[in-house]
Amino acid sequence: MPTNDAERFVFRQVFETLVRLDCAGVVRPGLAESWQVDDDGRQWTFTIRSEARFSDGTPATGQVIADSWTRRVGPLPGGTPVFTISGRELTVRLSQPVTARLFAAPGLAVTRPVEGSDWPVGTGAYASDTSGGRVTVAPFGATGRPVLVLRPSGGGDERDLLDAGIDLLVTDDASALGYARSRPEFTTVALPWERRYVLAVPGGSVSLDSTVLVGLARDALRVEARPSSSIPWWADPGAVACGVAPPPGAPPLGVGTPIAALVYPVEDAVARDLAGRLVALGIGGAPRALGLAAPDFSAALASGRATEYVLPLPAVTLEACGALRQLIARVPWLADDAARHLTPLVESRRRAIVRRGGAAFTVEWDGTLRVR
Amino acid sequence: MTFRTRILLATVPVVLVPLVVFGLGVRRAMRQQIAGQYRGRMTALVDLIGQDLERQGSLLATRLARLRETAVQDNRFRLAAVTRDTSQRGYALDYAGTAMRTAGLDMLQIQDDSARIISSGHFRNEFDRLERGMPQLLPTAPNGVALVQARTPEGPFFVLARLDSLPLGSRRFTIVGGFAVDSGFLARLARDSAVSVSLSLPHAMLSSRAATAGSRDEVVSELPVPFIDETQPDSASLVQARLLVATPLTGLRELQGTVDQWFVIAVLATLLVSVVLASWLASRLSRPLAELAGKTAEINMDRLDVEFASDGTDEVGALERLLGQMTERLRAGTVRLREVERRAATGELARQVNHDVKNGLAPLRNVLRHLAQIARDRPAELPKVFAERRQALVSSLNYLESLAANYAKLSPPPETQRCDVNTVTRETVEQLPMGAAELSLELADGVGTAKIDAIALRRILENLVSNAVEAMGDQSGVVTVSTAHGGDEGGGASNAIRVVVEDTGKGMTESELERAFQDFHTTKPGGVGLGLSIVRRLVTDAGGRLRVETSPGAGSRFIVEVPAEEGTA
Repeated sequence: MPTNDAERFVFRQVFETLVRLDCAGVVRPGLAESWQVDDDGRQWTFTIRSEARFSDGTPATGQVIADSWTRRVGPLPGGTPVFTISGRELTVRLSQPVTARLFAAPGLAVTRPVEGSDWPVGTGAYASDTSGGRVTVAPFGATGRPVLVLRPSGGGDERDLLDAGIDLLVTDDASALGYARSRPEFTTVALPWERRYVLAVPGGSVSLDSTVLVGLARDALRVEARPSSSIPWWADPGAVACGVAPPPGAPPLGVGTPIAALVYPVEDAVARDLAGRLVALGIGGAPRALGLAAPDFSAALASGRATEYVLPLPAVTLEACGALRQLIARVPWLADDAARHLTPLVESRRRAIVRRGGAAFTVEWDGTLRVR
Repeated sequence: MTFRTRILLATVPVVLVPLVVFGLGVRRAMRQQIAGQYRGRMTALVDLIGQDLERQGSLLATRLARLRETAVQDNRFRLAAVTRDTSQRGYALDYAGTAMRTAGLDMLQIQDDSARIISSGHFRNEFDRLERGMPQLLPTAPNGVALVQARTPEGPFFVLARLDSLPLGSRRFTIVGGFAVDSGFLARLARDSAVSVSLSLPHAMLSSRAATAGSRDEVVSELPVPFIDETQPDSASLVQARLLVATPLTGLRELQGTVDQWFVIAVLATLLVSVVLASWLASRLSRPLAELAGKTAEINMDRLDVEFASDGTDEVGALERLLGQMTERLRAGTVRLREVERRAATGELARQVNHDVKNGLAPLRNVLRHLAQIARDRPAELPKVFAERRQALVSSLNYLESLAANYAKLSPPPETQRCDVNTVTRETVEQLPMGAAELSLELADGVGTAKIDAIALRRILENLVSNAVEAMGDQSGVVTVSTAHGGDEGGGASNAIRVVVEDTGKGMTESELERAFQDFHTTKPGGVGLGLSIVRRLVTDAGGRLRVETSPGAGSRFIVEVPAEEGTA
């Protein structure tokens, strides 16, 4: 599964799910060109595209798709799937009713392992190549699509990337966005609210009034943000309903040297600003903020030995129980009541700066871009 | 206490006391000089630190003045600060951060006239917090500069801060800017790596360097610095912090220790040299005196052959010569005394002989007178009376013969005998048993006649040669007997004949030699211990001298000098 923006972008180009979900939440055809639902959502019959093939030329048959799910996917919210294959038709039988959105979840992307390669192949329009020290995503077949070259910003001035001729820049940097607006060859597009920042308090909880949340979103941050007001995915249906338990061998809460600080991932500017403001306001009781690099932050978060944490999470998920399972695998002490320990703060989103006349993109439900 | 000990005890203080006094004086002067230089250096450093702080304050003033001019000209900031235009709020919140970095400051805080923070460079999200301490207290600090404990999201930090005012519209804002005071800042103040500058605060201590185990800095000076703790909600007054200048005094202590160490070494070396020198001097002065005393101790009536010969021109040499002359006079006096004694004894003996002879002659005279009377008066009875008185005559004659024989035994020969030294020596030595030893006889031609009885010379030689043979024990060796004319070895002008008996035996120590001449001292089983004593007496009686040269392992050499007959060449 992809873990960062670049991986999510590459993942979106290389792999497909049976159906897609666009930025408006509308289900669109993916690897399946059509589908039919029966028995109140318990049985789904997908018709695979006739020309669907993996990048190595292998046809994407119903059996290959069933094998991919069986190999990579655990139990679905609707129960263990039972597959029926008939030509291009793949019938999935579940014990519980589900919606079509479920089949757009990244975890159900269709992949096929290749012998001698660490990377599986997908049915998307592109194949990735990481040779030569940079990530290249090239189309296969005569589709006329452009070759995509990924360049990490590296923490430098993102305006330099625009001046260097880049066609697409996903950013929340105010300077880059202002610079792009001043350049007629670029246009900016708001992406979905993709990230939600929460205040995680081990063994306790904090409630914030809306004034504070508004102030956080409006003044404390230098990115586009809004107060987080909707019911978050980890509160519905909740860990108990999903049957989530701490992973075996998880450290007990508070093990290790206590950290009297509000801890945040140091590379995340939004988290840093939120931590600073919360400390300035004295919310939560932490006397200071402490930025930790990713591995240290993960370790400190898992142990729950800090006073509190600013934690970035996905704003939305198509499969709440799966996302909650992943979250509790990282933060075992949330298993008893994640909704109590996590206080939503703000949601943020980025913008895509796109060079006019370049490649065309569609925006997916999770904010990733897909070459059209 | 010996003369040598006195010299030793006198010399050491004479050398040592002036040196110790001199050394103590030098040491004291050096310590004062070093400590003075050290204090001077620290004082100069503290002055420089004070000047540095003043320079930092002036630099802060200059930069804040420029920032003020820039802020006054910035319309967006004016809109946010004065008209509270919410569209410019984000700009205002980021304003202090940008300005702080541009001005090269580590802390910048802009507050409105109600002391509310409207923009903070070092803590961007601390906006809207009321902070009255700095606007109220900083203007009261000396030179307008104070140490401030400010906040960042990550924790407190120290700055050297200054305040300036920012008039916008009808309101008066304040700008507080500062330089971070951390270990690097303090190290720059210290300049010298050997010096540490520390900040002593009511609840904290900040130093220019980490404390290292084993090194202990000593505070040599301190500067008062006004302090504001912004992290405390109600910091109502300036607190006094102290800038401590410290340095490890180990260098100074080591230097002083080195001076002390060399001082002690110098004293000890001098003490050693003076002791050695005094010992040498005392030995050089006392040895001749001790030798002189030893020789003098040997002198007695039977032992006047001790020599006192010195070429020295000093007092000891003069004393030795005087003792030599005195011994010569004693020797001559002894000879005269013995002559007087001999004459006195002879006279006494003569009187005794006279008395005894008269006693012996009286019966004879009486018998003869009686016989004469009988012959005259009664001639016929003469044979009968003679027969009766004959025994009386015989008894008187026997008495006189016995008396003569007895006196003959007591009386010394009236004249000293002479003998040919070479003849007596050859005859005597060649008849002696030599055992394992080899005899070497070296008789000089024309040695002549000596004034000594042949029997005495014979007895002298018998004793000396027997001793020489016995000195070699079972070992083979050479016993050399030689004669020569001349009293002093090497052919002196004195009229004497020298007889030398030399062996290659075990020799004698000084104490053994001294005991060898004592009566009844012997090392030989069955000996009576009179050999060398008799030899000395016989030589002395002959008016001669006896000398011995010996050392352990190198054999012995007995030199007998007897007077030569006048006319003997």
